Amino acid sequence: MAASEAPTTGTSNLPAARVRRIIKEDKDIFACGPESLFLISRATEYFIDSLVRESYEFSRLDKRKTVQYKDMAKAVQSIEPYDFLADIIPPTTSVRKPAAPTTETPVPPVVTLD
Amino acid sequence: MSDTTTIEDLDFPKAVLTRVIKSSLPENISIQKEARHGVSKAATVFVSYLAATANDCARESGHKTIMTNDVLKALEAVGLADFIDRLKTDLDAFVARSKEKKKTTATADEEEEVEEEEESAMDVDESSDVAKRPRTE
Repeated sequence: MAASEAPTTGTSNLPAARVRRIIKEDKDIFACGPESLFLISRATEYFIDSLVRESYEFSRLDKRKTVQYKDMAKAVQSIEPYDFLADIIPPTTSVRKPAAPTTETPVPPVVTLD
Repeated sequence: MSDTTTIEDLDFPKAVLTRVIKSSLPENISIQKEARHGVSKAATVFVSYLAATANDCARESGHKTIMTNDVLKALEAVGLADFIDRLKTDLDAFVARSKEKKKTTATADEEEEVEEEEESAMDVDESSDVAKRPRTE
């Protein structure tokens, strides 16, 4: 059952301690109530569900049964609310391109063969 | 933030993520390792991103603690209002669950109180040659 379809139990699949830890890294955040922590946790599950499904759409277009990194990069590029992930899941560059650095786009960290 | 730990080092456990990912895909579809890695990073960054946005909403509303309304407002702000209805249902279930837990603890406390009252009542009624039991905490 997808995270979005699971019967509402009032629990999250993500460990609360880890969610809290990530939030605590932000020194601008003063405090977060337990209900808010829970909502952020569930929202993250819905987000993962959404990201994976959108990525899969691109796999399907390519008639593949494996969701690949490049599908996810395409999803991030094409869906506006995913803009915040632009640096986290950047598009890959072809190895065939000349290695000379350009002033245009910075070379992304992940390089795969097309 | 320490110099050695960054947001991206705080990954969710792999087993947890695999479960959530699998539940979003048809049975016969698999996911490449690099893509799974991407989901892992995205999840952590999302928590941070949503929390920071919710924090802004909290400040705008004049309070320091992130309340549930701040989280819902934040989702609207980042273009994920689609999640709001489901989350409201989730929140109701969470609150109901918390109340249940508190009731169980309260009931246990109440039962203890009733027992203590009964004991002290017995001490008063019975004759003094019955050894008085020490009161329990």
